Amino acid sequence: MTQQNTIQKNLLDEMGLSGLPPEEQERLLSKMTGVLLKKLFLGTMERLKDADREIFKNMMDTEANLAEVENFLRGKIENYEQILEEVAADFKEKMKKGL
Amino acid sequence: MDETGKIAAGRKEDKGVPYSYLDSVETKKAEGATFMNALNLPIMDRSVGADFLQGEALQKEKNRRELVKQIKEEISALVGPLKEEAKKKALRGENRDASFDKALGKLSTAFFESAGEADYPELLGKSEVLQERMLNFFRDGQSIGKLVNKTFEKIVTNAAENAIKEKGEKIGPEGSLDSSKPELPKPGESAEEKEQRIIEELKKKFGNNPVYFDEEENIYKVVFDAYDLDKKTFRVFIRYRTTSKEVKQRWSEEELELKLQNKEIHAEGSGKEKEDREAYENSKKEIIFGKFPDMVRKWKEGRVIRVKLKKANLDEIVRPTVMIKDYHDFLRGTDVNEEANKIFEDAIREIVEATKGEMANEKTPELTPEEKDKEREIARAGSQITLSRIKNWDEINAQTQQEGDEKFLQKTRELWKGFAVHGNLQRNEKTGERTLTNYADLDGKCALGLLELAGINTKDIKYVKQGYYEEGRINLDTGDRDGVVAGIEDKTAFIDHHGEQSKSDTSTAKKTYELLVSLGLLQKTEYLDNLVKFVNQIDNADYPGVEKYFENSWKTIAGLNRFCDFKTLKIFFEKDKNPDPTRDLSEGELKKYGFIYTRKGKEVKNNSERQKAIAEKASKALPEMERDGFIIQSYKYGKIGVEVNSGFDRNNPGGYVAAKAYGCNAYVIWNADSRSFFISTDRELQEEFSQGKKVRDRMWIKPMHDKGELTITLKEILNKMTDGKLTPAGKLKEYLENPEKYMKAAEAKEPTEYELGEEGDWHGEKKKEEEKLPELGREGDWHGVGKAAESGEKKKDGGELEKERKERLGKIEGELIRARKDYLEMEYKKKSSYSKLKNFFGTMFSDRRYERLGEEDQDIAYYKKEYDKKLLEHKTFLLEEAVGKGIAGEKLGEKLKTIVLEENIALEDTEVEVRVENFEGRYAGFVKESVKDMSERWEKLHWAEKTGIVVSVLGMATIAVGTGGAVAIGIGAAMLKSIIKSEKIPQFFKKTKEAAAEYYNHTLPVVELENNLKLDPRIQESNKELAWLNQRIPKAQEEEDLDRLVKRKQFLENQKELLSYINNVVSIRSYIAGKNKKEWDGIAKKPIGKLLKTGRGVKTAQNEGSLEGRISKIHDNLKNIDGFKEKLNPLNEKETVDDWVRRLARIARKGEIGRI
Repeated sequence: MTQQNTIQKNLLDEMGLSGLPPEEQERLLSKMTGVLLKKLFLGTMERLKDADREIFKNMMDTEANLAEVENFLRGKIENYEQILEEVAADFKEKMKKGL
Repeated sequence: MDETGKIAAGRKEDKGVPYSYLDSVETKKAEGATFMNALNLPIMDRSVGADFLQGEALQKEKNRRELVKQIKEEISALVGPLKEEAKKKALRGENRDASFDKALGKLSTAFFESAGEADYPELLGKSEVLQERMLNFFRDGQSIGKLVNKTFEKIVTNAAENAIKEKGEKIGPEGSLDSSKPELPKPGESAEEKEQRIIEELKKKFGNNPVYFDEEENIYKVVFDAYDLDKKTFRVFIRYRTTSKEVKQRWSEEELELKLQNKEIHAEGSGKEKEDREAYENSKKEIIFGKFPDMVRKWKEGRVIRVKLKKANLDEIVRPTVMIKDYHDFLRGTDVNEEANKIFEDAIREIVEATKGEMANEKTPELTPEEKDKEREIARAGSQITLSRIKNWDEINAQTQQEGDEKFLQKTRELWKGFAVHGNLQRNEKTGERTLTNYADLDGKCALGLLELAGINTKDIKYVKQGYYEEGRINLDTGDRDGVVAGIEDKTAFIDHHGEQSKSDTSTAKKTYELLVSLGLLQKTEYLDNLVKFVNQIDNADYPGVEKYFENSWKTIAGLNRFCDFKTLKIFFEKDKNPDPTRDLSEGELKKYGFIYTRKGKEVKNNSERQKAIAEKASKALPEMERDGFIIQSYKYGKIGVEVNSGFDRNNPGGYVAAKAYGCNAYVIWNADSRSFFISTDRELQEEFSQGKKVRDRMWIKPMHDKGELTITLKEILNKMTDGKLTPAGKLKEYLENPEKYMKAAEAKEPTEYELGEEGDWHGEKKKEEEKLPELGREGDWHGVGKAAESGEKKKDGGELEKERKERLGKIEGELIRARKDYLEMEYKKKSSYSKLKNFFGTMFSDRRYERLGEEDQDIAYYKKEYDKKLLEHKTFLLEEAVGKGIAGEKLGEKLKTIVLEENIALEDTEVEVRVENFEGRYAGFVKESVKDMSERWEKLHWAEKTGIVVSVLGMATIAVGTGGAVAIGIGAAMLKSIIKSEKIPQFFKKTKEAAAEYYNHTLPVVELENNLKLDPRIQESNKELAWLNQRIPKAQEEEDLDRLVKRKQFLENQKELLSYINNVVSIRSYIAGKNKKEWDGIAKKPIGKLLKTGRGVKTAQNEGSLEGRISKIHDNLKNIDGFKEKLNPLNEKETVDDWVRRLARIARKGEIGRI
C-alpha cells in the first residue's frame, strides 16, 4: 500500500466514508475538497483589506511566486495559519454531522 | 490665606457673597452663591481643592464632606427603587441595557428636578453617591462604568449650569479677554502657565475646539493650540471635515473672534483628494442630512442629539452608523464630545436591536386602557388552551413569577398540538365527485405559519369542511366563532373570525398573531404587521388600489396571492424587506418566489402567465358585462357587478377583484343550479336576506353545501340592494324575467370559494392543488410515490409512475435547495451584520447576547426548521425509494450515509455561495469569478491529479492543527489555477501531506476493541440478562430467590469478562496477522522484545504490511495511554508475542481502553 493510499484510507475513516463503494468515496472526497478549497479562499479574501485584496489579486493574475504570496498573506492576516486550520477543522466536524 | 482661599475671597468680594457657603446648604441657597464661582474652578474639577487646602479651608472642606455625606443619605432615599432584585436582574445580562437606561433615566430626572434649587456642593454630593451606586450596579462591565462616569459628569455639569442660569449668574470668565477684565491673582505663574490659562479662558468663551458649519454646510473644527504672549496671537488649527485637511493659522483674539463669527475660517484641501473626499462626503451628507435632520439642526446649534434610527434595515443602518462614528471622531475634543459619545453608544445599541429585525429605537405606542383590556382578554383566552391540556399542575409551579411565565410559555409550545383548519372542496372533473383537499387558504396557511414561527409544532393538522370543527383540537378558521374561544374544561379551542360579531378587518391570521403576541410567544414586528395586514386584506376581498395594479396583477404578490404560502410572504416582507405587495416583481423575483418554475421532465409552469391571461380576459369581459346589463347602478353601493352562472358562459374570470378594478363596489354571484349565491361589497352590507347568512359585515352567502332549495330570487336580492329601484336591461333583464329558461342541470357552479376574496375567487375557477406552487403539494403525496415503488405498483403503472416519481423528486429537491439557501441567507445576514459592526467598532460592540444570535433568533430558527422539514422529506423519499427497490441492511446504511454526507457538503457549498453573493466592495466580482473558476477547474481535474490535493486539504481538516502546511493549502486554494497550470500539485501540497502521514503514523486507532465486543452475540445476551437481573435483584422477596439471582449475576459477569478477554485477543491478533493463521503461528512464539525493536527501526506507516510494523504501531498507539504505558515493554526476554497480546487483552478487558 502506498503512503498516499494509506493516508487516503485513514481519511475515509475520519470523514465517515468507510464502507462506501470506492467510486462513491472518490466522488464525495472530491466534492468535499472542492468546497473546502473555496472556503479557504473565501476565508482569505474576507480577511484582507481592500488595498491588500488588490495586491493579492495582482499576485494571482500574474501567477506570482508562491513563497512571495505566502509571505504576503502571513504578513497581512494575523494568525493566518491558525485561521485556516480552524476553517478546515470546522469543515470536518460539519461533514461528520449526522453520521 | 492660601492661594485658593485668595481666589475664593476675590470671587466672594466681586460678587458680594458672604464666604459662608460651606457652612450649610440652607445658607448657601439663601445667598445664591455657587461653589463654582467661589472656587473659580472648572465645574467638574472635583479633585482641585482638597489637595492644597489647609487650615481654615481644610476645615471647610471637612464640613463640605460632612454635607456630602448627609446628601448621600438623602439621595439614597431618592433612588430607593434600585434594589437588590433589579440589580440582580440587570447583572444577569439580558436586561442589562434596559435596566441601565431605566436607572439612568430615573437618576437623571432626580438630578434635574432638584437642580433648580441645588447648588454645586449638593450636586457634587449627589453625583458622587449616584455614581458610586451606578458603578456598583453595573460593576460587571468596565465600559459601562466609564460610560456612567462620563454621563454623570455631563449631568452634573448641566445641572450646575441650569442651577446657575436660574439664578442669573454665569460660570467662569466671560466676555473678551481685554485688559479691563480683572486678572485673577496668579503669583509665581510661569509664562507657560499663563499661556495655558489664556487658552483655557478662550475655550471657556468659544467652547473647547468649536465646531461650526459655513453657509454651504461644510463643517470645520477649530483647535486652540497655543498663545504667544509676546505677539498676543493665538495659534489655531482648522480642520476641514470634508477633506480632513488641517491648516495652522495665527490670529489675534479680535481677528479670531471675527473670523469665527463670520465663518471665514477655511481649511480646504485641493485636487483629487478633495474631489474624492467630497464625493464620499456628499453620499454621507445625503444620508446624514436626509435621515437625521434633527441631529443636523442641533449640531448647527452647537449641540448634539440622540440619533433616531427608524428602520431595521441592516444595510441602511450600518452605513449611517459608520458615519456617526466618523462624525463622532470629528467631535472628539469638543464640548459635545461626551454627548456624542453617549449618542454613539446609544446608536450601537439600537443597531444591535435592528439586527434582530426589530424596529430600532421606536417606542411601542402606549396601549389605551381598552386595548390593554383586549390584549389581556386575548391572552387569558389563549392561556385556557394551555391550561386545558395540562395534566399535572406541578408542571407550571414556580418560585417566581418570571420562572412561572417561562414555564407556562414552554408548556404552551409543548401542548399546543393537534390543529384543525378548513380545507377546500374540489370537484373531480371526471366523476363529478367532490372531495376535501388537504390544504388551507392563505389565511389558514398563515395562521399555521405564525404558530410555527412561535415555536409551536403544527405537524398534526386535520382538514375539515367549512363550518365544521374537530373535537379536542385547536380549530383555525373553521367557522361560526370569533376570536379565541377556549375553556379550561374543554380541549376544543377555536381561533376564528367567522362569528356574528366578526368584523371585516379581521382574519384568523390576525387573531392568531394577536394571540401569540399577547402571550409573549411572538414578537410584534413591522414585517409581521405588514404580512398579517396583507392576509387580512386578501381574506376580506379588500384590495386597496386594485384599480391601479390589477392590470399588472400577474406580476405582483397581491395578484398572485393564491399561489403564496406563509414562507413566501415571510421572505417577501421580512427577508427581502418589501413593504408593498402591489409592486411589480421582476422576472427573477417571479421565479424566486416560485410563481414560475420548471418541473423536472416537464414544461415551465408559469402561474404568473395564468394570472396575466385572467387579468386580460377580465378586462375585456367586464365592458361586455356592462353592455349586457350585468353591471347595475345603486345608491348605496354604487356599481354592482352581477355574475349569473346559470345558462351564461362565465366570462369574468377575475371575479370580484376584477370587477372592483373596473369600478364596481359590490359583486353578486348567482348560481341557481347549485342553489347558492354570494354577495360581497366594499362597505357594510345593510340588507338582510331571507336565505343564507352574513359573513363579517361585508358579505352574504348561501353556500353550495347548504342543500336547501333556493327560495330567494336574484331579482329580490338586486331590488333590495338598489332600494327597490332596480331597472334591469339587456340580458340581465331577460334572465330576471324568465330564470327557468336558463337553468342547466349540469355544470353547477358555486361561488368559487366559501368566501370571496380567498384564492379561487380571484380568478373564478377551481384550482388544483398540484398546479400550485411547487411547495404546496398535498401532504403524504410523495409518500405514496415511495410506497408505490415498494409495493411494485411501478411495474403496473410503468413509465407514468416513474415519470411521476422523477417529478416528485425534482420538486422535493427544488424545495430543499430553496429552503437551504433561505436558511443560510438569513443566518448570514443576521450574523454578518453583527460581526461587521463588531469588527468596525471593536470590543465596544462585543456582547455575548449577539454572539448567540443564530441559536436564539426567532427568524433564523424559523428558516432552520423549514429547512429541517424539507431535509427530512428528501431523506425519507430517497430511503423509501431505496427500500422499494429492495435495498436493505448494510446497503441501506450506506445509502443513508451517502445522503447525509451529500447534504452536509451541499450545506457547506451553499454557505460559500451565500458568502460570495454577499461579498461587499470592489472585489465582489473578482471573488465571484475566482470561486466560479476554482469550481470549474476542480470539476475538470482528473482524479489522479486531485488525490494529492484531496489528501493534503482534507488531511489538514482531519489533523486540524500543527501541520505547518495550512498556509500552503490556503494559498493553494487561491492559486489553484496557477498550481494546476504549473503541474506541480504534488510538490505544492507535499508539506501538508507529509504532516498528515506523520499524524496517522502515531495516533490512528487500528484496533476497535469496544466495537468488536458489541458485535459478539454472547455478550449482547449477557448484557440483556444482566440488565434484567439488576432490576430484579432489589425486588427479590425470598432469600433463596435472591441468592440464586446474585449467583447468576456473578456468573454472567465473569463470563462477560472472559468473553471480553477472548474478543480482545482475537481483535489484536487479527490486526497483526489478519486471518492468516499460518502467519500468526509463525510469529506467536517469537520474543516480543526483538520484534518491537525491528518494528521501531522502520517507519511504521510505510511498513504496515509487515507484522513487525503492525506490532510496533500497537506499541506506539498505546505508549502514552495510562494503564498501558508502563506495561508495554516485555516482562522478560522470553515473553512471546502471544503472551504479550494476551497481557494487553487482559488489561483492555477491564474497559480501560476501547480502541488501540
